[in-house]
Amino acid sequence: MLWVALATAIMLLSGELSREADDGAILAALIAALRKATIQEVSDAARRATALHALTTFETGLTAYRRQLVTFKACIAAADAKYGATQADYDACSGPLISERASLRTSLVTAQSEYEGAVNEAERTRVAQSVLALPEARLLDSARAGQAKTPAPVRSRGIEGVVSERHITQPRNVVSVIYGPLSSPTFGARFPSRIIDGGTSYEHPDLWHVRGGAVVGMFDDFEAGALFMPLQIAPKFHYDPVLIAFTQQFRFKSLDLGIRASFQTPGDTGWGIDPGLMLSAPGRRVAARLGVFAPMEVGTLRKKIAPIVGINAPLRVTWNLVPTLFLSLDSGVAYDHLANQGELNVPLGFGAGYSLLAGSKVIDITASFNWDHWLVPAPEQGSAQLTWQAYRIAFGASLYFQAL
Amino acid sequence: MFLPRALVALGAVLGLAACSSRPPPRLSVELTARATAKAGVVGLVVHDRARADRLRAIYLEVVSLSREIDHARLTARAQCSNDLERRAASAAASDPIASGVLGCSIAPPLTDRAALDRYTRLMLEARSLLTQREFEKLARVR
Repeated sequence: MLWVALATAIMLLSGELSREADDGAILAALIAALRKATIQEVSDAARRATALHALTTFETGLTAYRRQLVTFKACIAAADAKYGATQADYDACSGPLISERASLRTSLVTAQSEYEGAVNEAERTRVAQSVLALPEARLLDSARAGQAKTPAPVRSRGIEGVVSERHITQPRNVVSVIYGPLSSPTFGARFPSRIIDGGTSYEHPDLWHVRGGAVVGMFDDFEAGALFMPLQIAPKFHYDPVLIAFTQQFRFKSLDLGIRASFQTPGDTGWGIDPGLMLSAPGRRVAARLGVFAPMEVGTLRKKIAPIVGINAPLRVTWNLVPTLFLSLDSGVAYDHLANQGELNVPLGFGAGYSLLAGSKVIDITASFNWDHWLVPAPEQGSAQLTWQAYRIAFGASLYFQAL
Repeated sequence: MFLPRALVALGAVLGLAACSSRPPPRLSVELTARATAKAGVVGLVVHDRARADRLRAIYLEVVSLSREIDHARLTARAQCSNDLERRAASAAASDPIASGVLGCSIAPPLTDRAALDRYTRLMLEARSLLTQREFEKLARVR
């Protein structure tokens, strides 16, 4: 029984192309336990020595095989990195491994035979009970193995390159350091008292901000992040509220639906909350994204205010002129304070960006120009107004990389 | 007082994790990681849509190749375990060496060989679609 378990473990170990993590450490723990149990349970010194020798033989074979596995991986990696690599280069990698595997098989068979000759049935049962009781032994659980199901396709966990092809959330394992406008996490971040975007921004007539942060793809379609460096530089320096956002995405054939819960740490008007939905249509050259958010500022427990509630429906269309260069158009409708008459706004903005692949990282160098209150179609007094003076310029760069 | 202790504890945990003797991931994990990293950014390197699409498909096929092998291996493992346990329970077939059942538990080399051949074919095709400069740029990704 014990050898059945060990043989199963070896099968796991010898699967060079298996996806599971290297089980060698677990197997080593099991063999150590096997050794300990053998010392305890086999009373006859001569038989015990033979049994331990069998284990040593097996371990030696296993070590050699694992070393060969490392060589094999390095060989494949080297072939992968060589432009002129041929079939022969790959074949040369697997040859030694096959012979090492045959050698391991022999050492296992020899060791098993030797061990079983030295340890009687009752001792074997006790040793097996002791080893298989270990938590590591779940590796050998055939019932668990029997539950193998066809794996469901998961989202690719690499950085997404071309901007128009990107989804709402970062793939799992991808981190973005945001210090530029037009990034996904700040889409729709328009609170009643402030509009938030990454990078350095100038807002006419004299307001300067610097905002940076990071977002992590925590699961295949869930990201979390924060703009934790929100500084107002001029006219007066101060630390702005931090924006924290969580986004869950549902991917369909050609559309993504995103649900975002974001909030701001207390500022002059207390906590800011900005829940919303986004619909995104990524495309090869053109992408569109539409959102509906209900931003509100609700005061704090100490400083109570009547909640300021707005509604914001941003729209962004992104056009990749070439895979690395893109333009964007932002608009939509925003009503920053529903309790006030005539605050319906139509913003208008333009953006541009260049995506640069630098080694293993992607850098988006971006800039945007926005009129956040461009058109007021129904002001409280008078007729529709176009506002050209209140503009905002932002620029910066965002970095994307794989965490592991 | 608590904070320094917490920091020391955190440092110790991180140190232990960093010094852990846990071995590196298996080849399939590395292949998947390399292919995944390239699949996303290939469009930024290869501007010709047709070539970029085929290359992306190749890299994604490498990922699915790993998954297929995982599945095949888990199924084979369950099958072998069940066979071995059944035979071990039977007094008549008490010699697993002679019965050849033990060999079943050691991964069938041909399965991996076929997978490696398929992987090699994909990688060689990828080279045929890339210029040396593009290849080297993608190789730097991972």
